[in-house]
Amino acid sequence: MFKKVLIANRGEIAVRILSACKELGIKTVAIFSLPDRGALHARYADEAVCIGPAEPSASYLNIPAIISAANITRAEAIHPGYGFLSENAEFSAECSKNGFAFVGPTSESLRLLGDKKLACITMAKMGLPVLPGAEFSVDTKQQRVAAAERIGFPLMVKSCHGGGGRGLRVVKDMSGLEKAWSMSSIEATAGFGSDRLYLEKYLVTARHIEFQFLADESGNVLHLGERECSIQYRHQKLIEESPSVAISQEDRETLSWRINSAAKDIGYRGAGTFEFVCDGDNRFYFLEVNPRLQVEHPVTEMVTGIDIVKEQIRIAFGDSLSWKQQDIEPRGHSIECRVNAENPATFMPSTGVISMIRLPGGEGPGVRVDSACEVGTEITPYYDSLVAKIITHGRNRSEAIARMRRALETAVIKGVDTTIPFHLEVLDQPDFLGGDIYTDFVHRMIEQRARRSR
Amino acid sequence: MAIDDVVRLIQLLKEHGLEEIETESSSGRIRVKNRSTSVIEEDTSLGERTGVRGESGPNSGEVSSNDIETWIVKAPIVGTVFSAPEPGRKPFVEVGSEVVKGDILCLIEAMKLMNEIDAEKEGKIVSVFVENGQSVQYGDPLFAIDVS
Repeated sequence: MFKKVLIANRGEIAVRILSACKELGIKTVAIFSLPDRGALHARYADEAVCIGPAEPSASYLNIPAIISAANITRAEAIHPGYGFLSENAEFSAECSKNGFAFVGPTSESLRLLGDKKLACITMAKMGLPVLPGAEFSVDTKQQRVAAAERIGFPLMVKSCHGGGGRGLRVVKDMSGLEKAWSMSSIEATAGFGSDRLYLEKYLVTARHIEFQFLADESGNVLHLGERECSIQYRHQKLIEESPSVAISQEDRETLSWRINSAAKDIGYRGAGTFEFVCDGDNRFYFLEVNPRLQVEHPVTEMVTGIDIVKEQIRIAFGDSLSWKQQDIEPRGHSIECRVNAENPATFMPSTGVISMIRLPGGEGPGVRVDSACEVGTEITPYYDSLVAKIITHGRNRSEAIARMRRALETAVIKGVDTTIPFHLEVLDQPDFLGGDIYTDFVHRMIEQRARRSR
Repeated sequence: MAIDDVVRLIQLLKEHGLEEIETESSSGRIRVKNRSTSVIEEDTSLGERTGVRGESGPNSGEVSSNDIETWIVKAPIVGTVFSAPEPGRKPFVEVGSEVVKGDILCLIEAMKLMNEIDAEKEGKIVSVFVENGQSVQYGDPLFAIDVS
């Protein structure tokens, strides 16, 4: 096993990876930016290296600085976490070139999957169902109009290299197409350094369901079931759960089998997630592959009992998967609520210093909390607003929800606004309790709230 | 109070991440304060002006004649310090070297690239905080230049 791993991230995910390394007996190196000096992840690691100022471009996205930090600390591998450089093909290549194992896919896989249009076309060829759109040429206005006529409205303008909901525009009719195209183009250039866009059919009533898998160097692929992530706002996931109440065992098996063979065919290595949308008639369509650890990975860990981060590290070392598919027996139900430092009504970021924090976990069974926040932690505009992930597990969905409710009720966070009241509101909605959840759920809940207050 | 003593105090302050050191001897009393945490976030040049004030006698009193103004050169990147252009050669600078703006003070190797660390101010090197081959983090002090 590796003797020393550098964690190229911050916050809760850096702490999560540090924990996995500690359990594997691996020494750890944290990196931190100036305002993160003294942060939990930097203190928790065996060594910590300051790599730059607050701006992510000069610190957590600074490839030469991170490689240099790995050099001076003699780390053997680099775990990128999620966000930042986790899907960066150049970073993966630089790690290998400088003699460090990258805990994630090869740069070739990242390049293929990082081009969402190409990924859709590739997956369609491999037999996965896709929404109409990616196959059309859209370089000229005439081509776009012709493509839009074939696809039908509403449709989405998407960035080929996008992520996190940026560069996305929903278009209702032909008159809005060119404006949405130019807006997305500007956003995509600013956010991802590429103005390449594509069109895709947009499903109004859809669930977001994704499938977690692990693949080792020798081509063994293990699927760990699905996560339902339909509770989103502005394409940001807020609540995730596993399993999904919407998918039949037959669909689960068919899709898992196809995903496994697609992952094998592209020579994928590491942990990954295939994202799908599912329409009102329970038809599934491939959206994209997230070639990294995901924020919501804990719900899968809770039901399968598998430590995904430890498996990632073992795979990067070259070990074969330590599980067989028949060993995977999902048990019960798990839910995650992302507690963000945001106004619970408007979702506007709430920055400030946490003056008091009391997270749940000690009151009874079935609760896990992933967080790096402490009294004195400052929520700044530089980094994401995630304060804590509260994850519960129960024998069934209703027990997991009941545990989530009491866990949220015992949480106390002062100094910043948090989304805890929002989560409690969702947990009280009859549609949520009935599993009747679609990606417009939060939008509709907010509209209803506005109608009631009028 | 000799300048060397003052510099040693700055060095101690940096090494242990202290905010303030006060010391008293037969020659008087001196207090050195670190303002790096507040300065570094605003100062993009990465250099730092440290006010060092000598104090004579048990009662605090400003003695302006004892003032020196020191510019601390900090590492702009994580890496390994090279004090000389090549092994066996004389270091770029030593304590006592006079430097002008643009002079190379040392090299920091990061990802096999040599980054020249230039003097941003004119003055005399009063302290070298790093040794050849030593690894440094972003923001670590490298040199103190007396710019008064």
